[in-house]
Amino acid sequence: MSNLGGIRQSQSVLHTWSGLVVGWVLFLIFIAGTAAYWKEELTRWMQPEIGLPASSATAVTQAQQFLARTAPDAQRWSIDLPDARSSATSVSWQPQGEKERRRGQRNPNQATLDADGKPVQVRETRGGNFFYRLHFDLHYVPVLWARWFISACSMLMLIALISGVITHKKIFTDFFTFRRGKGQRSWLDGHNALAVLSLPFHLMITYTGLITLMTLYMPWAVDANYPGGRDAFFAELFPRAEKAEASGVAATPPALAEVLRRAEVQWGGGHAASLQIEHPSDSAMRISVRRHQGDQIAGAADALSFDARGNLLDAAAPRSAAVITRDGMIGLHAARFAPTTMRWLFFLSGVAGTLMVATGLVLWTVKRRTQLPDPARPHLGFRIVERLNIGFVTGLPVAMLAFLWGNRLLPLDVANRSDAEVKVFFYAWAACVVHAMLRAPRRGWVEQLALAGVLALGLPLYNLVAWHGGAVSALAAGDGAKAGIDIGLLLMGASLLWAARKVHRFVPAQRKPRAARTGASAAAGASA
Amino acid sequence: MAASSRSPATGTPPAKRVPRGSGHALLWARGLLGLLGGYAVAACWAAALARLLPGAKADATLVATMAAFVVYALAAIWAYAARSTLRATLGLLLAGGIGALLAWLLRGGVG
Amino acid sequence: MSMLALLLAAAGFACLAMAMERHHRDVAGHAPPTPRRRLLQVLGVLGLLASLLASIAAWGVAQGFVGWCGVLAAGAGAMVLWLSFRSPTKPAPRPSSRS
Repeated sequence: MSNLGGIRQSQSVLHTWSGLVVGWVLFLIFIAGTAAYWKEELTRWMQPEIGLPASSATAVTQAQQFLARTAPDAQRWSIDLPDARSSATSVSWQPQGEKERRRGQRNPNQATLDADGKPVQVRETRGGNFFYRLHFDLHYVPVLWARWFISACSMLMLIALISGVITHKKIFTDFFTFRRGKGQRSWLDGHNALAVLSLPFHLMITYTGLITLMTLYMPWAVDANYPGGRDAFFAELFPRAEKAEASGVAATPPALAEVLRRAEVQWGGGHAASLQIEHPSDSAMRISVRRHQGDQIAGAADALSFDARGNLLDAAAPRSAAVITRDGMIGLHAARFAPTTMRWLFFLSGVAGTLMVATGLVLWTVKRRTQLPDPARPHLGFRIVERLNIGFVTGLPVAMLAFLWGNRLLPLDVANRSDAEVKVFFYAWAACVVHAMLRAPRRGWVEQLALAGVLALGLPLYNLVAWHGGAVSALAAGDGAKAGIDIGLLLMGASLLWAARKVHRFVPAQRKPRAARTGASAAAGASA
Repeated sequence: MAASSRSPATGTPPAKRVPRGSGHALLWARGLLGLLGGYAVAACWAAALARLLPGAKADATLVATMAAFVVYALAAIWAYAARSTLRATLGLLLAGGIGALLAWLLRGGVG
Repeated sequence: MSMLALLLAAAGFACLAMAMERHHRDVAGHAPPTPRRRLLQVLGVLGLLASLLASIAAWGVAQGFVGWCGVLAAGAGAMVLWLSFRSPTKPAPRPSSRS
């Protein structure tokens, strides 16, 4: 009847279709999300004006002194503390009578403090947060639409993973197998190896990714239990402390370093990420200290409240098992808890996932080409897919590197500088897509790979020359983050140039050299 | 099973080819079943589990939502693995129907 | 300590790979005799378990399991690359070689 074949065959069809339909989006999610593992380090790298941060106790004291000097009568103070990965103390304040600013609105009442507590003029940049947001909020589209779309694509990714495992007959016997130089077989081996070796990561990251957006995409449980509206659910999960009212009696805040210490004791050795003070010049002030989400896997930004004398007001109720599970899943996805070596392992798994999607996309064209009636003259649909592969798989890395170059080269006083950097990203990406459409596929691959390689290698060299010794001086100062990014870029650039050379030198086995130069042979079976 | 192969005999081993019924129409049918039908089944079971699971309302809601994605994956796999499109559709209707019925029966009675 | 976990995982996977006929043939030229296979399998599993202990020592219990998955992926990946790149591929026939 209308049979899709046995279980393996049916799952093979499901796997191909679920993966392909959203493959390009998944590639974007993976590449941006993988880069986001280093978002704090990238932000640090993108604001080279500041050096290593001070310790939190020192930083909070410096912030307090700065705010007491600059905005003693504000109705709200906010201090973001530096941690091992980020550079600077950020302070902001809300003057009396002003309404709270929405996220995304520019805030003139803020400052960045360096390790000596002095305000620094840093270049305006989104930093690594651009990649982080890109991988679930996209850009230029309403956030809710983007997240809905990403959720749907992630669901298809989950289905692709599971059906891929079911259809992979030799998952154990082929575990270590990667046959090079064998065309389609090599692409399949590579795709399988990248998928199977990091399978726990891929399953985890996809599922937990869905969990982070679950109330948007699957709200029916909430609707079933809270017929009066979803707000009741969120109020139950995240109870908001009542806002403190000013009493009119003047007071100055206690030594915040001491408040910090008490909070850390209360958390059993945890770390604070930020502080907010409501009414810092009033005796009814409320000091909230938020915990750093990297303290535990199930990290949560729970807050402790202190009064004007630094006494603890209340401790949050312990989380239920369900909440801890949910927080744990989000924590696994974001990996904020991971120390450096483990973060590298997460990053490598993310790279594997990115390459898994890329090899899947290429594998489809390689396989499809053998099924074409005339491989030298594919129909339009195939040609577009082949070129969009280039536009995404090499175009996105080029765009991401162009973003970093924009950070270095754009003048510091450009209006809306952070938006300008983002524009550089999108212009570069668009240019790559256009380039891919116009060039023969093999040339498209080689040229974009080579361009990406050059861009990647150029950045650390530029830093060496134009930024006080780049990676070398960063290492000397003990700044692992900045040096690490530079070294990572060097490795990435070298790999990209190696890949470009490989594709350039590849000659498809059964074709004459004349046919190879028309480019119709494209990347068919390029040995990895 | 009418397996009309769409590929020319270029030497691709026949064992690798997926037998297709009426070509693209079949894939679209299964695809939509998996995508939309799977979602509907998951939604029904999210509601059912939310009311079925013991414990505090907020907690049951969380667990039900997290489980719903597993339901979705299983439903989508069933949509493709079922031996005929009819069986696929009936299976999804049955699964979704039971979930919806449970949710409806338990309405208003959640502690 | 995390480096130790990585090395143990790589060593464990090396043993498990060698216990497979296909890869043993690649490396040693012949299929592994059964006693050797058993030994390699046992050593391989022990190596992986040891790398789990090293991960827990490095990162604590909960994070140790999480990190271990990454360690396993890195160790297995290293083995795949080693086995693949040991033998150079036969280059496709081409009329003229390019430097």
